[in-house]
Amino acid sequence: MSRHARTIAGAIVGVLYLCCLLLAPAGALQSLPMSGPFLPPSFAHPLGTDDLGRDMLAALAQGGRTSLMVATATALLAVGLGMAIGMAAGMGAPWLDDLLMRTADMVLSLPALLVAILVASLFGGSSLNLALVLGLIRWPTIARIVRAETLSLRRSDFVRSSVAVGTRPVAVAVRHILPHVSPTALSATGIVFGGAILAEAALAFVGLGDPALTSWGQLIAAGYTFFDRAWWMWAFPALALCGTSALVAVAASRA
Amino acid sequence: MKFRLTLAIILAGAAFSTLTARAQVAVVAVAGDPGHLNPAISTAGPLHAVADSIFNGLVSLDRDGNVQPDLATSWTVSPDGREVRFTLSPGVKWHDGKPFSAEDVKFTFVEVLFRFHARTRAGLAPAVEAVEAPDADTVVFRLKRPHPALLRQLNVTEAPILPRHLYAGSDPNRNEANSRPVGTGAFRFEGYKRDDSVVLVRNENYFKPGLPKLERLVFRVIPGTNTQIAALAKGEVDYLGRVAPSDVARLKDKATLLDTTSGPGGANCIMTLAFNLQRPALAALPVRQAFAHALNRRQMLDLVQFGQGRVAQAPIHSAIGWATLPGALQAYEFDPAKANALLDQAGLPRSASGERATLDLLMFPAFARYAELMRQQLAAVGIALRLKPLDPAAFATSVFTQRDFDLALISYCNGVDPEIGVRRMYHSTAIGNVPFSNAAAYRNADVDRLFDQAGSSTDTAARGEAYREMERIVARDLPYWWLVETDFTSAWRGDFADFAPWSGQFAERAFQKR
Repeated sequence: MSRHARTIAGAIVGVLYLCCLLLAPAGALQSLPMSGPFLPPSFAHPLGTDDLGRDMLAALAQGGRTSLMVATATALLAVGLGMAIGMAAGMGAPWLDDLLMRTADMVLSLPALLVAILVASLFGGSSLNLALVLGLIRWPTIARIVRAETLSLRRSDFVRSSVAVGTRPVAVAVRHILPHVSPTALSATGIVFGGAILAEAALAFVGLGDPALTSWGQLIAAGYTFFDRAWWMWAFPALALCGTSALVAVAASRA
Repeated sequence: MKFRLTLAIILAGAAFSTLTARAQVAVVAVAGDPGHLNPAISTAGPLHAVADSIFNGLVSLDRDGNVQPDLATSWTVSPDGREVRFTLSPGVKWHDGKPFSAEDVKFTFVEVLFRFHARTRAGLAPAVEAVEAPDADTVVFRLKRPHPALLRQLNVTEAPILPRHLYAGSDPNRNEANSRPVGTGAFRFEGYKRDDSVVLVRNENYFKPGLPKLERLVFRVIPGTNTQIAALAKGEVDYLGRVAPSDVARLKDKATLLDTTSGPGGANCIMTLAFNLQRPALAALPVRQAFAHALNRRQMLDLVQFGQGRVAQAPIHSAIGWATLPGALQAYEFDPAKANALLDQAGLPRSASGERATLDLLMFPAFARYAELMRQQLAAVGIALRLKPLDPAAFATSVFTQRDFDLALISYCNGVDPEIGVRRMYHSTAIGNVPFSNAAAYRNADVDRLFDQAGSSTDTAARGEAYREMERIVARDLPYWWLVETDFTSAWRGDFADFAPWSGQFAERAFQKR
């Protein structure tokens, strides 16, 4: 994928999400006003209305806001943990490296969605729980990449000279390693971000989402009930979900 | 595969009936595999959908819930209401040729129904002292107290009669006749393929002359409602016992649709919001009154039920004409402004974000659209609902065992007599660990007295007056808010007639037009 395509994809996602953030009505579905049920797309309702007469465009924007919030929180948590642990493993003693990387292997073997479903059914669906679970499970992807980069950087001359003049390891990591591993780590973060978008929608689709927030998954599930009666109820949320995760994947792909 | 089988059956049916112009085969969709076909030891829906056509009760109920003869041709109630004597139809034979007698009835009630049929065990057995068979054509019920609902609990769904000669001395749960049933009913068992189909054929020796008219009754297991609708539209299936309100529009002009207030296992159902009166916020009457004014029930009927049913006008279902009190809920017109005023008065002011309170609403996942609409309507008066969809077992535990809820959405089926399905909602002795009893935990000595009075009398006029007095009290106290009366819709293809979806014996009189 060309650099150009990645930039465009990233820009589109960014603009769409910004629109959701700025334009989505506050609250969740129940705060949207009701008009006629099952109205097809029209000038007044560009994406139609749902079974209770709520504007699908407004609902979609609310869903986008939820999706962005959960994915961003997940990505921040995963990238923070992943970079810290990756650099510690790469710079630290062999036993620390082993300990951290075997832990990463174990965490990586956990099925993220299943754990998220378990947590949601035990503690109730909440966007915070979901972001925590996904973040705490997806960090090894980033940690592994960061560790590999750190290991190669560690042997480079500028790092060795910095260590030789007595700079403390943490300072070396922040000043010399971090700037070099960041681009690679951010690219991996895109994958975590896209995964979180899908996971949030999947949980809401099966009814384990955050009941206080509108979700694309929830909209798709509701639309599925009226599959042949109101195509706009499932088509637009499904398009939003697929489109967004595809664009994120493109934007995060490596050249 | 299923389709090929059906086709083969239809062709076979056609080949057998060369004497008649048409095959007279009806294919019926059932939502799940029946498992076995003994309707006396289970209340499962798919089982009764099939097996009720193989058996008979002592009586049957017509569309309006009136008692009609089935195995019993007539009955008399003693003046004190404690003895009911049934005269049985003469010359009835089991499908295996053995004669039917009063001993079969006595055996079935005492040894099977009172032990294993959930509703009959809970709702009838406690009132019965003894069932006697003085001679082959007479059955006598001796009651501990007058039990006016008795006759309406004796139809094939509530009390199917089993053959004693096959079940005596065995464990009814393990008897092999459960999978090769022998009944007295309009149709005989012919074949059963697990998860696929059950085939019944006409009982040539049926004791009701001229019935049944259909040669064959084929039940196909089709789990998905979308698939069922498509199958009916394509002509692969002739009859659907239940059509969801949201699907009714899809079948208009494609099938004969019939709305009834009752179906096997549930009659005269009212979608009801139960307030947990043990929660301080809901113990305040103005708060409950505010709910009544804030919920737009007309909108609920239109948007969720797609118009199938009626806005509830009284605590007792309008189809029970002698007991309902029309206009009992007139005082609570839809009026959000009034609801807001009542909530202010009750000391639930709006916070800075506009919310007054957050309450948990528990419901079956199938009622999610009701809950969603209620959340929408209550948001307008500042009440936030947290929706908690729960499967039936978890719902029963949370609401009736742990009592851990604020609001619960329950479809209370009143039954064909208020004694069957209304008493449990209000009587103080029905509070506790019995599923779908008094969810509100409502206690009112006058209401208890009125139920006891109505339940031990056989004078319909006096009973009706007691129930109406009870309705006046509960309409004032509002332990529940009665939302909409929901109808059952059945559908069949236009070339069939006379199906009876309100009865377990739905195909007894049905025929295919020539």
